[in-house]
Amino acid sequence: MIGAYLLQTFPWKKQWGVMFVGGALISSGLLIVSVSYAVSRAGLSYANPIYWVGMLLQFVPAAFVILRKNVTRQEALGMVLLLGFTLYLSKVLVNPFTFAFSDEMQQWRSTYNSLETHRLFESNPILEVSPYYPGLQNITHALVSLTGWTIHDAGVILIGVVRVMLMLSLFLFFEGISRSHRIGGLSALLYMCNPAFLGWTSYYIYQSLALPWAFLALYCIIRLRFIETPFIESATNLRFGLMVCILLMAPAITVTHHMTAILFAGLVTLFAVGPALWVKFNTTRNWHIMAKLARKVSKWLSRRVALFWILARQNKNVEFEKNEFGWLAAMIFIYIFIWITYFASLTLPYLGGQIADIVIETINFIVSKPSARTGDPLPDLPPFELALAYGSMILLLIGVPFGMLQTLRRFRGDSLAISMVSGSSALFIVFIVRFTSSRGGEILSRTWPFLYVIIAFVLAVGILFLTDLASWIKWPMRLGVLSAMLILFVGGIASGWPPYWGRLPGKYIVGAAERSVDIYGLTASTWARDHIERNSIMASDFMLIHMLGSYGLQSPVLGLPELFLSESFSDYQYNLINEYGLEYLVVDTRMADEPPTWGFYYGYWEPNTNDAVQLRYITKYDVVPPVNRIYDNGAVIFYDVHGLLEK
Amino acid sequence: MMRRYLDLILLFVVTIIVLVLQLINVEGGIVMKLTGAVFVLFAPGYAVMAAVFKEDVLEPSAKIALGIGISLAISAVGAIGLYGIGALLTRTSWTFFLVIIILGCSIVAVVQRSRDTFYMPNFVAPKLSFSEILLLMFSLLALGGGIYLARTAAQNQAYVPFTEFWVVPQSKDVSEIEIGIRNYEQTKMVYELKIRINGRDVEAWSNISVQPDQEWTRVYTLPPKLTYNETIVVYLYTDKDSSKPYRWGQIYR
Repeated sequence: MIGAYLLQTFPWKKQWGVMFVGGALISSGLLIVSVSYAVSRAGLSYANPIYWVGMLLQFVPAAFVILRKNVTRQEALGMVLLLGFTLYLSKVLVNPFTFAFSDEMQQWRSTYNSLETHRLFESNPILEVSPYYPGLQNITHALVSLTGWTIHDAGVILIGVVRVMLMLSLFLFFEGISRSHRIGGLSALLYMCNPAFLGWTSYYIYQSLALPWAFLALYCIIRLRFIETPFIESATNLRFGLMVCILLMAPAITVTHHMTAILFAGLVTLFAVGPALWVKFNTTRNWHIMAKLARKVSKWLSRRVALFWILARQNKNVEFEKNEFGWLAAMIFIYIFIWITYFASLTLPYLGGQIADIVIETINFIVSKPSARTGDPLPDLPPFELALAYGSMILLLIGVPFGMLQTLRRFRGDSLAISMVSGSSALFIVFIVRFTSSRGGEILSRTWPFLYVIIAFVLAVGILFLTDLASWIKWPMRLGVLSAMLILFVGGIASGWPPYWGRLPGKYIVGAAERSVDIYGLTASTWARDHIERNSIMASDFMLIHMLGSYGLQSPVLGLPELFLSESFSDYQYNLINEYGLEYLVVDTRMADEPPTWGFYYGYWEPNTNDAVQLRYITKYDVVPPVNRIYDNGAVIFYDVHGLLEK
Repeated sequence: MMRRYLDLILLFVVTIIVLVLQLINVEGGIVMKLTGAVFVLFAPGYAVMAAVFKEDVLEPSAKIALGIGISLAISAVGAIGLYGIGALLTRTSWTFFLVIIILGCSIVAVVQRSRDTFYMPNFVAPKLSFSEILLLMFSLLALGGGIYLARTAAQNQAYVPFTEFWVVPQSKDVSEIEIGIRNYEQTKMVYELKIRINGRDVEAWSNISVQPDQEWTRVYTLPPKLTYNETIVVYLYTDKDSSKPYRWGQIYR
């Protein structure tokens, strides 16, 4: 309170307000996070508390400034931009010299191939679909060609610039819908609480590029809608300019990331048909049915049933304006159809297989007996993080319906806001999938960047309703809201990716994604690049496969735990080697030191391993003639199995 | 007058610098990195905006976002167009493609602005107070310090010292093998090598001295084959412990 008083009374320039104070604190937060990384690399145990102090020092000032009632547009925008950027740096500085996440390595390989051959669509053995979505590779190609940077440096700078675009787009989009910079800033801030923000939207992957384009295109769409005087020359020109921008960005999204293109088309469709559906739904009869249903569901709710009556009365006879999003949605679907049909036909089996798996798993969960159900619980988190992870989910389940009601109340008759409310209900479906599918965690982490656009908006509307309540409860309410936002932020990081064991850098951990990438694996991959014929077929564990397939320029086969986790070599392994035409087997002997932290060595389909694999199992090829043992760096061993291949 | 075209003049300067660097084939350097980055990440989009928005109707934040977004879209989709017409993606093709876009759109923008007598871009330099400048400098120092600290810590991260060792057949009949050592022990190492065929010592090298991060390789011609199946084992020892092999490799022929 004292701090707030000082901040509000100090003679800062009105235009910038307390932006520079907030900026200094946020930057200090990043510095503290860097200290925690250095401490963690030194193997000291107190790195984690330092990390959380640094993260909170980044988030709290931004939240504090944006929650103020008299926050200026510059302050809100400045806080959002800086926080978005420092959170990106927080990710980059974990591995400042190399891409260590598997998906980043996949993109690295596609970019390398196009730089080497000067062509597009060159095959990528570690992600076959990637070359058919070359947007990210093309821009990196241009940057590497015209600046002389390495692929890694160009990628890091590219995604950094894209992060600036993402934060600006989000702010402008939310501000455009609500016509309020407070809601714009708060929604963008809440978007940063999404569990994928630190990871999935910061990695050098095609989604990180396509997503900001989608938001920027949505902003242009919103601006189109609010051109109020279409016949004045300046308005006509603005309309033309925005159309050109949309027409340039829509194909770029289509050729960059399949899921973003489809979900972008879905969002535009929601904006197109949402209002019409709302008009159909928004009848007094339907509201009466809702009220009766609510009364049946809960006695507690029955006291709040009045809300439904109020909404029914308020939204009665509201006419929604027609919009032009229908043609735009149709155009994007046509782009996607053409691209998938003529260029990226691999997309259908790639995405179709995954979607079918999820649907089947969810149906199996529903129809199976409770005792036989296997979902995907939150990973083994430290108690503090587990509590906040569940806390953030509960807050979402409470906050989103509340925000939906407030949005309906505040933006009655506004078709876009109503569409956001309709879209928010997807949260509940996604939560069901989260806890019913064995890959629910992964699915949710990939869905968050899209879903949170909608729920951040309705949450922001709900939060501003609370903070703008009568003055006598203003401060307790603001503190409560700030605490809830902190739980969302910390819980989001705790339940998101990277998990707690991979959040900080440090020594090698077995089966732990980025923490399994170290000098041993990287030098072995470089050696393979220099000494083994390009695109040789190899089998290895999950992370070595990605290192060999990217930096090693080899053609590894994902999975095949049977080759390594069995006690002895038999006809089964012999046949497997011949079936896949394997030329080399690569093992990391450190796998025998401890069980895989991520739950698997080779792929999530391998039998759950609670114990570490025995060293003699993975090194059994030492004594299998005519298998050559050609490389050993003390951890990684290469076996040449050409001799086992039938001619 | 100059003020009306200031942004386009800056675009033109960046474009010419990149073009000249390309023509005289300069590789690397800070000028190439900076101008190249602006040339790819912002200039094309800004030029397109200048051409399609006749008036200065967009606010600065939207201009920056759209400048970046359209630039990236042009490179992402343009490469497919270039490839579609049969051009390889090289430094030259990128340069000319982006130069055409930037200069073409800039010319359209110049023509439009010259016709519009009321056009005046809204370039406002931010005015900061002394305390704000101090805070800004503190923020930049903290950001720079954070990046420097994280990079330095990553560079100096400790790892268990090790040696890479390999034995690779050089031909299908395995008449020659390449033996290699690379020292990651962070100190000068002295190694010893022994080659055994079917349990019989056939060759040994001692006092192989390798500096940190350096490599030692030899191609060894194996003696003629005496039996149907031969097992060639190469042992690597260090001078610290010559009783137990430090690394080993094995080849069948």
